[in-house]
Amino acid sequence: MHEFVLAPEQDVVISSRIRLSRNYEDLPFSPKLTPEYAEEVIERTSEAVFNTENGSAFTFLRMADLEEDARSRLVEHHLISYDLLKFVNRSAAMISSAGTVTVMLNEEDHVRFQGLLPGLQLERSAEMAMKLDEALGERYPFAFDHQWGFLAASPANTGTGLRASVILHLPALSGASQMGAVMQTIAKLGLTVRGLYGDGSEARGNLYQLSNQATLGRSEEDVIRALVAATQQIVEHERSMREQAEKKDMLQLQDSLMRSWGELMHARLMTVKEFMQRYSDIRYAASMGYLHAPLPGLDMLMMDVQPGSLGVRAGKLISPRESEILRAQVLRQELKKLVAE
Amino acid sequence: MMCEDCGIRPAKFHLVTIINGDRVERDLCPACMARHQKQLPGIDFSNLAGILNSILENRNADGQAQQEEEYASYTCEQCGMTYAEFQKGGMLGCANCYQAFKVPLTALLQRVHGNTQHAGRVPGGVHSGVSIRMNIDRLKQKLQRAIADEDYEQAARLRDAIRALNIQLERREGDIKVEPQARLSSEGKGERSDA
Repeated sequence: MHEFVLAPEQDVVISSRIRLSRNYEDLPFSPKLTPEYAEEVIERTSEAVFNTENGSAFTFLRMADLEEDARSRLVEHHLISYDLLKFVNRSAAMISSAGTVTVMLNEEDHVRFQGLLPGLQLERSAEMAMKLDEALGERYPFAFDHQWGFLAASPANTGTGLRASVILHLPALSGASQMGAVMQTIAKLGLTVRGLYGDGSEARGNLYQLSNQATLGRSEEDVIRALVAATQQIVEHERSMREQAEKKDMLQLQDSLMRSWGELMHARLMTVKEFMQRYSDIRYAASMGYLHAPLPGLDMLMMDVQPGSLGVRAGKLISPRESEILRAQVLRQELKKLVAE
Repeated sequence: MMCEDCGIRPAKFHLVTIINGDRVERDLCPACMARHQKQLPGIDFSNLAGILNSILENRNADGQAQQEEEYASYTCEQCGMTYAEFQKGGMLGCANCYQAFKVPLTALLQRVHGNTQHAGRVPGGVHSGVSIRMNIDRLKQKLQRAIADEDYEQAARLRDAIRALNIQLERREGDIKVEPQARLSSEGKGERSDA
């Protein structure tokens, strides 16, 4: 059997992300940023990033140069934020070859550093983002105040400028209608949890994002430690709910989850909405050992069949129906490969 | 009432969402409401910070309105942004705006973050007061262990490191004393139970 390496807590935690917001002290912030100043941000930052130790690993992309699908693909793979696309005319991104480090330029703040890793690896993600932050801050000073910390365009980000988040897959907790209780507990810890996909009225794929609220008054270490502790508790809770479901009626659980495998392997039309539910089922099944498919592979495939990414794969504009056909086709083909490995 | 998402603009909408049968209610400003209505995958939630539900405000509504009106005319000399403009868009125009709008911003930051004193890293990667103290504590423990193990070379290194951190700490606290506005936050400082 093929062996694959799992990141810490990857049965429940899909990925860990750190974002750091910074602004150059001598340039106007977002609302007053003229095209000339925006260009200055790009010049300074790109030059400084390319000159860091691993600078040659970064690819520089101007959002204005990309097709819409290509932009969406970056959002779907969490390489850039959706907000970066609000400023398409001036924004850019630098993305490391492994996709683990991104520098966003001219988003809401001049610079946003991002570290992104699979599983629960917030500390390492933070290290990656902070290393770049330090290297750049040495060349051009960032706006900073001893009382208020790093000054962000929005006061909601001022202080550490740090937003730490994890994406969690919680099918058992959601299935047992326990998310309300989890959310209430989380709010008391100064953290916030919400559905990752969908419009707020649903959490597609049972995916949730847990992140810190405040950025002022607590150190980066404190914030990260609190988020890791909360995540570990949710992970334990989710695992015990999965075990309970198995204990209660294993055959029933296997039956309901593996039916989704059947659908995915044979469907000819697949909407994103249906796919997200099926994906949640087979990911759950894989984490229980009912299905021998690598979780990192499933997660990558999940992002690859989102609308923008699928459009990039098609290489042309496709209609919604063509998109459903292509999604079903890619899934059949890629899932077969994943389980065969 | 302020928006529960951004904590910056007044709330105009009441949004009720039901996620897997769990009802969540929020008071939102138009900008945040628009964001909630967008149905895009991979939407970035990093800006939806500062939910204010745990923060109680018992201010006189009339007095507040009058004060807000006065703040609205504040203007940043450097970039020309007015406080009214900031209230509308939620973003400041430059670093100097933080000085120009210091009084209302202090109250706003207190509401959003429950705090007005930065406790994290400072530029150059050096840690600020709280973290420095944590480092000193850690090094002191190591120092005791080194002495117990009779590793005097290591002990000397640790002693020097602690001395350097203490100097950093003194210098930093000196800085803060010089700035008059730091007094506003003196309550919160040093009383951090989690430090």
